[in-house]
Formats: sequence, C-alpha cells, structure tokens
Amino acid sequence: MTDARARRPLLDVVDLRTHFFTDAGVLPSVDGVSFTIDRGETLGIVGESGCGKSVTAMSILRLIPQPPGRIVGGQVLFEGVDLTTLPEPELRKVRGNDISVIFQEPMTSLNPVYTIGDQIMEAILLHQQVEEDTARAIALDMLERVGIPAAATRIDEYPHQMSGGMKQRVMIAMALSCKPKLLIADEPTTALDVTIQAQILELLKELQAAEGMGIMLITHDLGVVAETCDRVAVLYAGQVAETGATADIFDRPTHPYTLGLMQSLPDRAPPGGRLFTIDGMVPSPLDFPTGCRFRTRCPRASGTCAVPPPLHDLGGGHRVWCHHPLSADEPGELVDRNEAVEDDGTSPTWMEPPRGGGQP
Amino acid sequence: MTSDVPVAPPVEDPSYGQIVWGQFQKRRIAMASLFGLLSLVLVAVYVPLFASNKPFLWNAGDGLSSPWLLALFDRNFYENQVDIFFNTLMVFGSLAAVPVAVVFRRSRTLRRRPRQAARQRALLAALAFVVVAFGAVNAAGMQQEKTVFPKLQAQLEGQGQAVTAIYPPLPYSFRDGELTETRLPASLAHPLGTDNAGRDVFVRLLYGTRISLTIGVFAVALYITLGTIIGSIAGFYGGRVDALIQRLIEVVICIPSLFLILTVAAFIEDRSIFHIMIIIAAVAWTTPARLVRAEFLRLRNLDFVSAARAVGYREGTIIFKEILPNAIGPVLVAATFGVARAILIESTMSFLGLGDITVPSWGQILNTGRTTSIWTLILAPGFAIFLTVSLLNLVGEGFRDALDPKLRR
Repeated sequence: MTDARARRPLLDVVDLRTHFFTDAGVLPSVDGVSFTIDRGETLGIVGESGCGKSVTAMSILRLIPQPPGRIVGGQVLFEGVDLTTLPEPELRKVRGNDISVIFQEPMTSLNPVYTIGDQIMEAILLHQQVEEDTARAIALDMLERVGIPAAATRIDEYPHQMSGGMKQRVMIAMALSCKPKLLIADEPTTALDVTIQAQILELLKELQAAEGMGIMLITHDLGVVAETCDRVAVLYAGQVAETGATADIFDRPTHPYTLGLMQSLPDRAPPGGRLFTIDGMVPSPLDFPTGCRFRTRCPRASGTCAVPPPLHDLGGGHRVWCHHPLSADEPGELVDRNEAVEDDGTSPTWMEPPRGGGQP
Repeated sequence: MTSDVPVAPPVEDPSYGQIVWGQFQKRRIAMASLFGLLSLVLVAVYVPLFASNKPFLWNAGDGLSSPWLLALFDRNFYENQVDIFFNTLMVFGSLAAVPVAVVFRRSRTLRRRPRQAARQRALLAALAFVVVAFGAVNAAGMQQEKTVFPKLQAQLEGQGQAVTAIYPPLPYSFRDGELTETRLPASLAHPLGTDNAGRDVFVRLLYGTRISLTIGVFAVALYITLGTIIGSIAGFYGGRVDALIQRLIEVVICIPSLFLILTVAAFIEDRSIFHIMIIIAAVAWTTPARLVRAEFLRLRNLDFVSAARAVGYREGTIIFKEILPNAIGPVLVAATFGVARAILIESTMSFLGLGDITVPSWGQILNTGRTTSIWTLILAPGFAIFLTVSLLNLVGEGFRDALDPKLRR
C-alpha cells in the first residue's frame, strides 16, 4: 500500500445526495452529507427517525431501492475508489467482502430456509477461494468468537430456533467472516434488550480491536455513542449538523439540535419532572425549509437562517453548520424545561449550553 | 463465554421440509391418498410386466428368446415416446435405484450438508443415467417385424410344432385388437371386456395411466416453471415490469380457458400429447405466476433480501436461491391440484375428439365409449379419472394443511 493510499481515510463520503423520486415529489432524504471513517475508527451517526441515517448507510453500498431512490450527487470514496460509479460486478466484490452490513432487525435478517452455518458458509465461499470444509471451519470459528454457546451444534440450526440476540450474533459473525475493512452497523442493538445490547457492543469493540476495521455505527441512542464511538456525526433532515470527536460533542454541543438531543436524554430530566423534548417533528422531506433545515424548530432561529448555514471549524475536527452556534464562552445554565415553559412560551431558554457538560 | 455452557447432544433439528413432511404424515387420508398415487405411478411404470402380447420367453425350436424384452424399446410395438420413456424407466430406472438406495443408506450418518450433497449427486446421476439410456434407446431405433405371437403360436402348434411361451397375465396389446373378439362382455380372460376393435379394455386402461399421469405431470412441470420464473420477476422488480406482466396475465385469464384450448387444438393437425401439454401449460401458467408474485412482494422487503444484497450476491442468486425457496410452498400445493386439472382437461379434449387419437388415454377410451355405446368404456375410464383426480386433490389438501402453521398438530 502506498503512502498516499495509507494517508487517505478508509471511507470518505463527499457531499452525498440520495433522493427518492416518488409520485408525491422528490424526497431529498440525504442532501449533502460528508464524513470520513479511518481504519480502526468508530464513527457514530446519530439523529432522529427519518433524518437520513439509514439511507446514508445504504447509499454507501448502493443498497437503496432503485427506483424510487437514486444517488444524484457526491462521492463515496472507499480506499480512493468511488463506489457510486463503480460497475455492479465490481461493487459486488466490495459488498460483504470489504464492506459488511449488519441490519437493525435480526429476526428477519436471516433466510428462514437455510441453516445459519450454510448462510455464513455461502458468504465465505462467495468471496474467498476456499474449500467447503475450510469455509465451515471459518464459520464455526466466527460463531465461537461472537459467543454462540455450543457453536458446533448450533451451526446446523435454523434461524427460527434462535433468539433475537443469538440471531444478531450470527449476523455479526456473517458480516465479519470475510474480515471486512469497514463494518456498517445500522442500529444493531435497537431490537435487542439492554443486557444483550451491551454484550453486542462489547463484542463489536473486541472484534474491532482484533481486526482493526472501521465501524460506522448508526444509532439514535446517545448512550451507545458515548460508550463506543470515537467520533460522531449528527444528522438532521438529510444533512450533517455537527461532527467531531465524541468527547467534544458531548462536552461542547455547539449546534442547537445537538444540545436538544442531549437534553432529551431521560436521565437529564429532573426526578418527577417532565422529559425534555425538542418541539415539533422532523419536517417531511417533501417540504424541508430553505436555508437551515432546523430553523422551524430552533429557538435561536432568526431571519438569517433562511440562507444555508455557514461552516464553523472549531478545531480538532469539530465542525458545525449553524448561523447561531452556541459558543463555549457564552455562559449558560441547563434550564428546566418545565419552568421555561411556564415563564413564557415565546422564547425558550433551554438553549443555554450546559456548564459542566460531560457525558450523559 | 462459551466454556461453561453444557454442550447439547448432537441431535439434528428438523428442517422446514422435515417439519412439513411430519405434519403431512399426521394426516391419514392424505397419507393414504399419497400411497394410492404412488401405486398408480408404479402401475404406470411396470405395466408391461402385467399386460403385453409379447411372451417373456419364447422357444419355437429355434432357440430361446425374449420378445417381450426386445419389444420394450421397439418403435413398431410401442409407437409412443411416452411408452418408450416409461419402459426405459422400468428397466434402467430400476437398475439405477439400487446404487441410489445404497448411497441414501450410507449417507444417513453424515451431517446435513454433506448428506444432502451426496443424495443430490446420487439422484442426479440416476436421472442422467435414465435420460442417456432413453436417448440411446431412441437413437438405436429398434424396429422388428410385427409378429403377433399368440397367433403365431396357434399357427405353429397347428402345424404340430412344440412351442414354449410364457406370457404376462394379460397377453393383449393395448393397440392391436383381435377383430374376432369385438364387444366381448367382461370375463376372466378380459376383466372389462373388449371394445369395438377387439382390444382389451382393462389393458388399455392400465396403459392409459401412463398417458394421463405424463400429461398431468409434464404439463404442470412446464407451466409451474414458466409461471414461477415470470411471477418471480414481476414480484421482485415490481414497478413497470410488474405492471406489464400483470396486464399480460389478465389478458390470458380473461379468455375462457376451455374455449381457448379447444380453439388452439382445432388448428393443430396431427395433435400429439405433447401439443396437448403445451396448450394446457400456455393457459395455466398464470396461477403459479400470481402466487409467486404475491409471495415475492411480501418477501422482497424483508431484511434478509437486503442482507443478501449486502453480502454481494447477484440478483439471479437472490431471486432464485434466496427468495424463491421461501415462496415455493403455495406453488407446490397448486401444482398438486394442477396435475388433477391437467388430467381433466386432457380427458375433456380427448372426449370431444380433440386429443391424440394414437394413445390410449382415459379420455380417448371415454370417447370410444361415447361413439360405440359400450358401457364399460365409459364407466371404467370415468372411474379411473375420478380416482386419480380425487387422490391428487386429497394429497394437495393434506399438503396445503401441512404447510399452514396455524393447522399444526
């Protein structure tokens, strides 16, 4: 590998635009998203439902349903190769081999008519020139590594005989069986209960340490982000609102939306008090506001927000796109939402940045 | 994490197919019907053992020979390809069954995947053997003199020559009648009597099993394959492809199928049963196409399809290897009913005089009965059709219930 290649990030997504062309109109679900992931790094993609997290992930391997979806702009550079223009046969060699995906719903992610061993083996046989016996050995080894008890017998079981947590482990084993350089995990723990969730995340971290792969972790759970991610990109309405190192984002949330998300964490609410919410909903992609897309819900919005927000580079890779970023020197208190609402409904004061910050 | 967990005994868990088969076995009527059908298939394959006017062994002083064996692949005796195929199956299929049985027995102790692979290889090899044998038999094109052995025997014995001949229990041809024995009533020699051409009705009925089952199975195999491929493509791609295929299906189903079949059949001169199979397939493929399409519309949005894409499978692999096995259950049930329907359509066509007049299909026998008013020619094939169609429908129902998880027992 040349120096130039080594210096290049593993994955470099540049101004990605994925639109859906429906009867109702064009949905710009992903509209100018940029981020990078390095080898051995975990990038968290966070945001509310419908903000374009999954579409971004699916666009990387061109897995979006086509039609109606189409990548209309931008580049997805994987080791310098643009995946958006790569011919389908070439792309198939990348899928599952260099880049693997774990899906949100383990219950339906495995084919019900084949044993789990067969499914993992098929994936291995597709990408590696190995004998069937070797493929089975690799599959068994992967199942053991993801912590399937009695893997030697369970390898011949069907998906319906396994629990959700076990199935998700199988999915991870399948995704990692070809030693991918990048793993895209689309809410891998959402469908699982909390204890299994912790095990799965721990497992991903272990495997990452062993294999040195990059991970793109899509989640709406900030707790998961704080525990597992090196860097975070906060998505809102198909665009990146703020990105930076996890510690920076949690210590100094600079975009009003990021702060809103942090304050919405249930453990930030006073005991017995109401949970904090950001007013309104993510706007429909059919009528995103012009300029800053958060301005319809943002208490700091002003007339200038009708034009696209400028980029503020806060150093250390911490970037925010906002007309009115919260600054660190701007003193503020975490204001109880209940009181704020009672004070006056017109200008919520919850936007003051938290003084101490810290992880939730 | 794994060390302290007790290892389960290596008992193999049932596959989907095994679960369905287990459910099917619990349905007694369906099981009985399945055995009935299997008997019909055995009758179809081995009928020359029971009925043929060629002696197994023949010695008229010029050495021992077996005209029966030579006649099996003789174009002058079994004129029809279907009979030649069944005869190939009888001789070479029985030979191939032995090694297949050995492989199945030996592979019992193997793990699931190598076992399935071994059994598939054995079955494919046996099938290839039969097909090659069929090709060789056809290429050989055996044509011997048309000798009517019972007559020859009587003639030679009349000349005072000693003749040794061992015949099958029913020493009659299904094709060549004895013109001195027309319209005989049922007797021990002729269990169902003879028809207007002096042919034994029971023998014709037995050979008719071959024709009717072949028409049913081949026509259905043809249209299931066609319909499944079309339905898969419609359901998988959706959108305009689906809309186009749906309109095509609607055009086909809005024409009354019987009239279409009769019209098309009327335009074909020298109809053979292969034409009839193709005509049946051409109107019936819409049923499996619609079933498969509906299943695909449901299945294509499941995550395992996205997962298959993400693993890097080709679209063809995803359609036929990942999705299709999940969609095939209802199609197989429809296929069972379809065989019954195809047999009925063929009988109807033959009865109306639009069938293949060279074969002893049940419909042809019925038609002869209609024109000659011999009651056994109507009742006997009628009963055979009724029996076969009922058995197929009962098996189909059992199969459908076995596939339905809500009806698990």
